[in-house]
This record gives sequence, C-alpha cells and structure tokens, in this order.
Amino acid sequence: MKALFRRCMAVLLALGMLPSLVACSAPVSGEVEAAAVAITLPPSASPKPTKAPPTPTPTPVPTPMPTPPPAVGDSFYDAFFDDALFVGDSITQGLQNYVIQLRKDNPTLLGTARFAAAKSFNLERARRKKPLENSSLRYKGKAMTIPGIMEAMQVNTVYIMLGVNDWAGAHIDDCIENYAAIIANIREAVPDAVIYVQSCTPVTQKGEKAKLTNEGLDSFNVSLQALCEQTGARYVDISTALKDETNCLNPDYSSDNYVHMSKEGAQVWIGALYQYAYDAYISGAWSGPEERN
Amino acid sequence: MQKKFLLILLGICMLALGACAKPALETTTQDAGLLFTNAYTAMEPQLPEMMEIPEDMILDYYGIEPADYTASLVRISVDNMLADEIVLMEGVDDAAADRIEAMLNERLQAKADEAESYSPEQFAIIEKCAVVRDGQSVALLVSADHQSMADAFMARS
Repeated sequence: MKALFRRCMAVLLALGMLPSLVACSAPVSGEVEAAAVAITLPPSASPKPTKAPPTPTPTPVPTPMPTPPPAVGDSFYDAFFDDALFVGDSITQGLQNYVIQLRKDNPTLLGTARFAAAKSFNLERARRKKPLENSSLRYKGKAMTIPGIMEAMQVNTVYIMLGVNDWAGAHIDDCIENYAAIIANIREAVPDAVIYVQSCTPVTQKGEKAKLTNEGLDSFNVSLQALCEQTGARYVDISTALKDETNCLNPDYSSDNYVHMSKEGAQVWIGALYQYAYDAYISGAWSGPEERN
Repeated sequence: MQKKFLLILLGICMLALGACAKPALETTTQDAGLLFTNAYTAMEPQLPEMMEIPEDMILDYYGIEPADYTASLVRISVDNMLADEIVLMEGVDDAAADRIEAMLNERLQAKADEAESYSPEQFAIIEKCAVVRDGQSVALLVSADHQSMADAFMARS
C-alpha cells in the first residue's frame, strides 16, 4: 500500500513538472523586444541574410553634372573614388567626419574611399620613411606612413592634401621638395600608385597671417600643379570653389573663420571632387564605373 | 522495476531544470548593449554634438578586432577640433577586455600627442582623462567632464 502510494506521488510529481518544462522553453515577449533593441553584435556574429536571386545590373548612364556640381554626387561618379585613401591633416579630418555622417543616408558617397588624417600632420612628417609616434597618421591604432597605410589597406589610389601646417605659401621651395619626396616614397612602395594631389585650401580673410596668406597659397598651388606634371601625379583643384570674391576662403564655408571647413565647406569640397570625376569622364580619362581610376 | 521508474523520473526532473536555464552569453550581450545605451544617454548632456563611428570603421580607427567584443558604442565629436570621444566596449572575456583596454590606452595617448602641440586647451582636457575598466567592460571617456562620464559608466543600469 505504501509502495503504491509512493508510486502515485512520483507520477503526480512528474506530471506537474511537464508544464514548466514547456513554459521555460518559450521566450517571454519583453525579453525578445529588449534583445532586438539592445544587442550590438560584431559583424562576424550577425546572422547572414539570405541572398536574393541575382538581378541583371543595368548599364550605368552618365548623369550630366549641373553647375555647380551637387554636394552629394551621382552614384555613377561615386565609383571614381572606390578603393581610394584620403590623407591629410585636421582639414581632412573635418571632411572625414562630414562624409561619415552623410554616408548614413548615402552609403555610396565617395565610393569606398577611406580616410587617414591627423592634426598637425604636415609635409615634413609625411616624407619620413618611418613614422613618428606623435602626430602621425594611424591605422588600426598604429602610427604609419602614407605608403604603409596604402599597403596595409591594399589600395593604390591616394588623395593627398597637405601644406597649411607647413606654412606652404611662405616656404614654397621646401614644401615642393617635401611633396616630391612623398610622391617618390609612395611610388617606391606602391609602384602602380595613382596619386592625386589636392590643392591647399584657402584661409579666410580674417585668418590670414604673415606666413599664411591666400596669395602665398595660390603661388604654392601653381608650383604644386607643375610638380604634378613633372611626376605624373594628378592635380585636383579644390581651392577655387571655396573662395569668395576677395580670393579668400568664404567664411560661410569655414567652421572657425580660419582654415577648417564647415559642413557647407565640406559640401563644396565634395562637389569639387565630383566635378573632377565628371571632367575625367567627359575627357575620356575615366571610362566609368567598370574601370579602376 | 521500481529503480528504473525512479531513474526515468529523475531524468524528467533534470530535463525540466535544464530548460529553465537561460543561455548566459545571450543575457550578457543583451544587457551590455542596453547598459551602454543607458550610460551614454546619461553622458550626452555634458557632451558637444557627437557622431557615431560605424561598426565597420572600429577596426581601422582603433585596431580592435570585432571578435574581441560583443557590444560597442562609439561616438566622437562632430567638430574634429574638440577632443570629446566616448568608446564603450564589452569584451568577450577577460583576455579580450585586456586587449581592448590596451588599444584604448594607445588611442588616448595618440590623442594627447596630437593635441599637445596643436591645441593646448584640448590637451589639458585629454591629459585628465583615462580608460576605465569594470570587469569585461572597458570605456574610453574623453570629455571636460570626465568624472561624471566615469560615474555614469560605473553606475550603468
């Protein structure tokens, strides 16, 4: 009798556990919601989306660029900047920040171009074959030279903008010599490098100093253009679009009424880059998205 | 027969207990991300306009491998002339958190080196800041109000 009673109790206990067994395996709705909001997984842990069936790629049709060029370019011209590296100083850092923000809504802006910039980075530091620990470009947390970053990123296209931190307008010959060394160093490390040299950007009228005048920067840019013709680098005029009628940086394009760009200034800068891409396409120098520039 | 019956019952009990246990990693990841968001919300009023560094730029920017962390929140000042920067990361384990801490310390040193000659005002802010560690959570907190940032990080809930 006792044994029978014990058996009955055991069966009843087991039957009582079964509902909780079922309940524990189902998620609570609130937990699912919290998971959807809060989890930030590294890209490698994200579930891979199911691939949609391939759709035929339409033949890209060039869009005539209006005058002035749009701040956010046509995706046709975005490809011109694919696999490019933009290097520079704090002025380029400002462009980088603006591009990062714009890419949230326009992911193809400037193609897959990446940036490496540091405050107070200058021509003298850029020509070194070994980077200084302070005020050098950094990639993956390490100080690197321009060629070093190009090799690490596996890119062969670079856009350079340097000179303001060197007072280039007041030391034209020294700065041109440094630029020539930078171009040579890049070519030595990356023989098939395509090098774009962007003009120094202007300074506002209020921001002009004895060693930093727009007249001096203009003279430097002329010498830079000549250097590009001699070395096979490609000169990109960013300066002209940023100037006002006084031949100075338009104050509306400056964040500090000095040398750094506001969002509007960065917008004009991007427009000048797209103008360059458009000109390259029209002249036949670039055949469109299928060809690497 | 009775012993076999009791063993089967024991098995059912063990199964029931196992089904009720939550996967520990899923809870940690879920909590860390939410806690970081809440901590950052508390920090925001003391910060200038900030922008997010996208996930795919974290390795380029900081040298921190994606496999080393389960949750992250990264913001820098929109005005690149300001030093303000918030990086919150949850390491997958202590060793990963050690590596993250080392890279964030390098980042802090690089910021200081960059600012020392360029912007004494921002350098003065950076040199008072530090990387904060709390278990497997690591934070780089660069702000003029570093202490309240650290308090918000440590009090995250």
